Amino acid sequence: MMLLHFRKFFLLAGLLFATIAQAELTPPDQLVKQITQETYVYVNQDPSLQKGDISKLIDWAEKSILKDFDFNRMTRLAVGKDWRQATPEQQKQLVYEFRKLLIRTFANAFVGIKKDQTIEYKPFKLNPDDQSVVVKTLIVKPGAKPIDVNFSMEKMTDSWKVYDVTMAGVSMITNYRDAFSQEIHTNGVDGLIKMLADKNKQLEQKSKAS
Amino acid sequence: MRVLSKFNMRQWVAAVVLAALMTGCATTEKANPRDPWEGYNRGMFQVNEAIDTVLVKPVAIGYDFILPEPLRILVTNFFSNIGDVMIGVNDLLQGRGEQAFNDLGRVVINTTLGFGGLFDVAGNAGWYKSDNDFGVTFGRWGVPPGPYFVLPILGPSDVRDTFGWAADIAASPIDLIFRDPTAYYTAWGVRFLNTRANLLPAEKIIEEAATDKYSYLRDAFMQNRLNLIYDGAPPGLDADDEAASKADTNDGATAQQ
Repeated sequence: MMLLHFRKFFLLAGLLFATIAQAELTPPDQLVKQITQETYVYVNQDPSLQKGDISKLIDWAEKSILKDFDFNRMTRLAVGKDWRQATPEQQKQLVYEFRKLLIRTFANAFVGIKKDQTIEYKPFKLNPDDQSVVVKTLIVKPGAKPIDVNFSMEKMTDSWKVYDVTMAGVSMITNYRDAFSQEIHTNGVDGLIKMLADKNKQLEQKSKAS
Repeated sequence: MRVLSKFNMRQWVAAVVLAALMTGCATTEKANPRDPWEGYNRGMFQVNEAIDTVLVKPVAIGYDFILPEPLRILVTNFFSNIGDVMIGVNDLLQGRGEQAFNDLGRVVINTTLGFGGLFDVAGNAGWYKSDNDFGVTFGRWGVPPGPYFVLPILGPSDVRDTFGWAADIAASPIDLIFRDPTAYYTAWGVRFLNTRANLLPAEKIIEEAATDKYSYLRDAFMQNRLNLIYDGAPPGLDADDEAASKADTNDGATAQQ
């Protein structure tokens, strides 16, 4: 009898914990709102950022919002079907270099969002068994066509994470697919790693020079 | 309904195309099935880049420098308002009544309350500008895009959208406003320059993001067109397995339901 009670108790406790853990996952639309609002506020509070000094923005992003981005998946998406032919070590290097390039691109895109622009969040509904969703936003600027910016999110054990960002229908991730597969087919996976590393180096030198 | 057929203009385009063919002959690698003319396209892309660097961009920067931003917005709004007419017509051709109501409503509001389209009053009230053209209409009607095709000066296109572009030019009401040929060509010129100047900020993003600018722009163009044809929900892009689905090799041919 006692044993049965204990079992019931554990079962209940387990269930309780499970629901708490569930509840603690920030819903994906909330998360997108947080990420974009924090960045918007950060970009607009500093005049040097407005002039396009993105290194500060990158440092800040590393410490705050980038934990919500799944760069592993992004790299896998960009590399496409050739991903499997890369060794784990190569995969690690690919993620490292591509992450660097992407962060820079995101930062470049985001410093352009000035005070006169607003971010609108489209209605979003989360179903309990959703594993992958798209959160849609609209960047509105007076005197210009609004731009659709959509965040593809996946459910991980500890949180939702961004794995793709599309602007006006153009994925900032899969847009690389053709260039990457062409490079792999001519120079192999190492060729792609080198290409990305060279690109990053060139960009670093450029930002140091200016 | 004016057709650009001045003889010297034609000669000039022929020269540009020839230059593209000559520079582009080296690359014939097969990569993207949507881009069988990659050799020519890369050549034309380089020619366009060169023309842009030495001519268009410097003029656009000058224009951007001389004209303060508020004035530039007026110019943008003015042409944008004229453009909204055909955006609305294309909405109708695609059977999208609600969208047409929004876009033609914009024209009515902005032409009257916005002083002939100088101010985007409608946009500020939440009637946002949208995107549409004959290329999209053809796509929704089931016309496949055909091979990717880089146009002289104008850049990324495909066969369908080249015809679409010609239809856009022919149907544009600009010639009703600017009847005098000089004024007409000047209007197109200013419009082109204004568009180019507006693209200046986006350029750095692409410049720094692209590992190969040609294919980056090409693939962005194709994704963007597909997105327009499918009204923001192109198929396949959300495919879960990254190994699968080269969705963008499909086209918008079967877009309309």
